[in-house]
Amino acid sequence: MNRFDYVRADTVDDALRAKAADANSRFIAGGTNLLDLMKYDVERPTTVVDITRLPLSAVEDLPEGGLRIGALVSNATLAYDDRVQARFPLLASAILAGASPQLRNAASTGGNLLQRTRCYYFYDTGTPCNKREPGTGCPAVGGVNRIHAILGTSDQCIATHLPTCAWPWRLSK
Amino acid sequence: MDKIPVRFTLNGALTTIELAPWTTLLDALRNHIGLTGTKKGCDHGQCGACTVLVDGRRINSCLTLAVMKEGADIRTVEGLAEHGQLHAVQEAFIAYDAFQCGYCTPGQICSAVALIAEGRAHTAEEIREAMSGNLCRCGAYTNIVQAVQHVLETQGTTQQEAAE
Repeated sequence: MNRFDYVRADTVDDALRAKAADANSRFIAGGTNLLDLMKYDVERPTTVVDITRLPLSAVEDLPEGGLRIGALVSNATLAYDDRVQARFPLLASAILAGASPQLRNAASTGGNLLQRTRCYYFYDTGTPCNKREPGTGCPAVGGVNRIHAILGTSDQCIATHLPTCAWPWRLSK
Repeated sequence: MDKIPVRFTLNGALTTIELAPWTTLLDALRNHIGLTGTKKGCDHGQCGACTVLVDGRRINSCLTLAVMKEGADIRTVEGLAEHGQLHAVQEAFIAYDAFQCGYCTPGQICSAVALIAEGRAHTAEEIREAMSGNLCRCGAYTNIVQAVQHVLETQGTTQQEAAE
């Protein structure tokens, strides 16, 4: 993992200020995707802003039967929330179909949606990748691509969008 | 960047340590604090050998920064026994021979302790699903499930007796 400055944000304003102060900064909450990518040198932030203390951990009822989910609500908390189980069972099932109990305890809802693709070439800094380094090419096109997308691709990238929990959200619109 | 002081409760004792921010909780435990019970397997959150309990919830200690754990309550496999008496899950792993090489065992045990506290798994199938974040390359899964099931069943009995 590369060296970086660590900032622990106590307020949303603190977090935004720290993020704006360094163009190469990243927020960290669960850390389950960011730290994994940092260990592979795919992500090399110079500042890591810890947002776990921000007041974004609530799941609130909305007047028309919906829920407002805080970005820091863990995958496990969300999946086992009584209201999600009763009113949005597809979302609960999608979350529980992914990762492991340990990862779901740590991973946040915001981070889940912001996960990067699991494309092998994106993860391997020894190969070109348009998503990692725009303009270098896409070895997945014509390469080992059984886990890649069939629909919605381009000549530049055939990576899939990862979060399973994003699909119920999209389908419910 | 300089080291950052971080303070947390570790196996019941208040612990203060200064760490570089890029130190994972796993490396802090093993290399800086000397608690080598927690194991480094894949170091990418896939094998579960590094499982510890943070504020009562099981997480992969390899995928979190130690400096983020300011104020947290951390329990590792070293902190499960009380007054020289092994935890019921530890006893069951021995009774059911739920390991071969033992490398994944601390993670399996911490995971099982959390599984029991979570209270969602009851059947063997549910235990297998709830233990799916812990890999065992020796393939001791059959006995691991039996050990966990034994603790669930005996604890259920104990609770019932207490209620009566």
